[in-house]
Amino acid sequence: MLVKGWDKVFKFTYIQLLKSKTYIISTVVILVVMFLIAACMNFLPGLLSDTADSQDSASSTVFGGIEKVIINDQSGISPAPDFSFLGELGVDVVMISDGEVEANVNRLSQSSEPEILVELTKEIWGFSLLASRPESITGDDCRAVLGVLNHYVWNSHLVSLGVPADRVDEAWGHVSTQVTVAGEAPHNEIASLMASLLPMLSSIILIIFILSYAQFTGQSIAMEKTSRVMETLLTSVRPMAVILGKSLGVGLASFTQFLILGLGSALVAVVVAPFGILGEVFGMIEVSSESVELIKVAFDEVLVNFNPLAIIWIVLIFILGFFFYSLIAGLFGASVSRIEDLQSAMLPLNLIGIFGFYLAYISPAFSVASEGVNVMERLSYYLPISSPFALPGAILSGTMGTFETLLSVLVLAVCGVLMLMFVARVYEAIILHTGNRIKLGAMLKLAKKK
Amino acid sequence: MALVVNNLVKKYGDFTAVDNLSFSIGQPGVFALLGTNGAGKTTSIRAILGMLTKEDGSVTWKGKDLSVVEEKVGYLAEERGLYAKYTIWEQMLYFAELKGMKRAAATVAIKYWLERLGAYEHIKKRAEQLSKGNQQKVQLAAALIADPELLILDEPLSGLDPVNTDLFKSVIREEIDKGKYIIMSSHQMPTVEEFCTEIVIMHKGRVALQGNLNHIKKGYGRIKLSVKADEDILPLALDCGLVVERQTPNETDFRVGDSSQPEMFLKKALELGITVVKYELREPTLHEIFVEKADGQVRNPLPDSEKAREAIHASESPLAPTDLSDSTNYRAQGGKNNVG
Repeated sequence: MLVKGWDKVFKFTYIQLLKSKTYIISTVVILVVMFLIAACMNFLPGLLSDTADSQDSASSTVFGGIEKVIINDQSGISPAPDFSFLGELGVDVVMISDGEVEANVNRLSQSSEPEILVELTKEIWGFSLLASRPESITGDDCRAVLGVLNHYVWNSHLVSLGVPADRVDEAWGHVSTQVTVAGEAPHNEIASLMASLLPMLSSIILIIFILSYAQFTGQSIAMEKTSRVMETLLTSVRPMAVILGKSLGVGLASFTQFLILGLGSALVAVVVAPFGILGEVFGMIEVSSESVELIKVAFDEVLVNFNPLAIIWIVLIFILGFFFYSLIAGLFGASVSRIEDLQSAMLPLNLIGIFGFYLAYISPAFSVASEGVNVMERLSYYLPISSPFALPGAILSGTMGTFETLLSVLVLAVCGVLMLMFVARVYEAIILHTGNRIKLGAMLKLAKKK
Repeated sequence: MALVVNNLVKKYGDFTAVDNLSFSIGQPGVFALLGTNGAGKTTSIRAILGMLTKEDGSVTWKGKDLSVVEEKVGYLAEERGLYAKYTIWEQMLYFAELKGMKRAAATVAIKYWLERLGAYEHIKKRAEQLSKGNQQKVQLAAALIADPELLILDEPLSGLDPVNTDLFKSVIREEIDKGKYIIMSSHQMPTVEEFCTEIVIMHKGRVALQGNLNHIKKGYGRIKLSVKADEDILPLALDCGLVVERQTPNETDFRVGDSSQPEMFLKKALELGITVVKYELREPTLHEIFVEKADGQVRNPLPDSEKAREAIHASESPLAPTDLSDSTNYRAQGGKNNVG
């Protein structure tokens, strides 16, 4: 009886929100911005070099417009590096002596030919590569050439020092350090980094969605109250049905946008990544098989917990978390009689949300420091104000087992139901109140009275 | 009895907004809930509908506690409210579905009521694009859409032009003919007199006067004399003991203290050769009764009205004042509840 008709409120809220200009515009704008950022990062360098190329009709190479590299080798590396491999990349190589450098520099300063001069010298710290270019060649193209030469010069130096040519790659490696508890398997470093970033990233995404949409619930209820529509609604349904239907309707709209943006991100990645500078870079740089293996293992390690069950948990937590915050927002929304008071009425909600977020965001860092899940982190998994932000990351990083997750979700669900009962009590008493905004203390007194 | 409101009490902190309100509606028709601004009419309506929690009392509809969720109750609120950004169609459909109507039935009802009220052309417009009068039409349509048996109209005619006032009145008349139970709150006394048989006048949360309008008027008796004459009649009227209550360039209203006074006045006027154009000895209008009950003790107390009420009360003593079994029972609150 108390919630009869909630489904009608839910359906109307969901459909109207999806049809609202704010919702459509925000979804489209975020998708476009995501696409533009990805596209700019990927295509802009290419477009800029294309602009430079357009000044010169020469055909472009993998180094933009550079067709010829003039090299003066003063490194003293023996045997001298053989730069003829550049020919395979479509670039002519011309070696010059020390005496010809000045004349070539002068010539390039006046020239618009697609060529550059590279001086390789021995320094205290190792070697130096100095490129001189005509104004028609971009600095980025020159740096691309130097990047390739840098790698090759150091390899040649290692060979000159006696490292066998087939083991030069090993000399580029580094030594990592790690501390583990005796008996436990050592972690993949990249995986550890990703695992520590995942909870933080998920906390940020969740607080944006949950808090902003919860505020929408409050705003919607305040609007219905101040516009007096509420009186019409209350001749058909009970206040609890209104707040339940509205919270769930806004929640589903929020989740829908979350899904649209998630799918949009995946689409943008699929569409943009294979082209432009990313594609070129991945095609150009030779990544060692060890590095590939390391990244693969890291992904496997992090995503091992990303399974259908985890997705169900995360969706459930998102809904319950949103529901909890949405109820609080609805209560604060009902406390105002003038829409201009809404901002100040929502302040406690924001404070609660930010506190919960920081508890979820920071506590994993304390756990890293204490080398295990500490009390603060555990608290963040069970407190309803922080668990919606903390649990998804914990599930994905494997910190939470199935039983612990179930317990946390149950606590969140029970708190949601208790909050609904509390809100419904106060909501009934204040929904037709007019005058000054009802303060939190007065709300608590009303609940106690009822 | 269809609707019985018994000892309804609503408090806001220490302030009692509605104090022991009791009335009942036994027959279809219009029941008027009257009172000055702040008398507690809207609070009473909200408490009756269950929007506000009441401190005491009960509200039953056909023997059961009234539940707006279970019963189809139409309500036109005093302060109109529509979703400004949504189209009329969207919100009408929503209101109809909340009343439990199926989409097909709702579509037919929406079309009927908007056409009946001359607002169908606005169905695709947002509420904010409509004039106040048209918004009021949409609100009335929303109240009527589910064909409710109990209809509560809070100031239904306020802010309407004469054409739309007549339109609303014709709709109300149709609902009366259909056998609906209507509670109407209004400050327009002629309208109330036009429709209502039973009234409650509230003052400061309490019942000041309650009962059948005709009985109440008869209870006061013919204590008003309206006279229009070509000559100055004032000295003569005062000489006859009549008290001037209202004077306009065309007409003068007197209060009659004694039943012999009007007769004496007319006789003397004719003897003096005064041309009396209008001579009407009448019962007080609802407006006059309302003013007396709400503000009367301060301004225009009706002479012997207490005696008149007592006389009526005594004549109907078998129906005790608190007996709610017969809504036609005239019930002079007098004593504690009578603030007039």
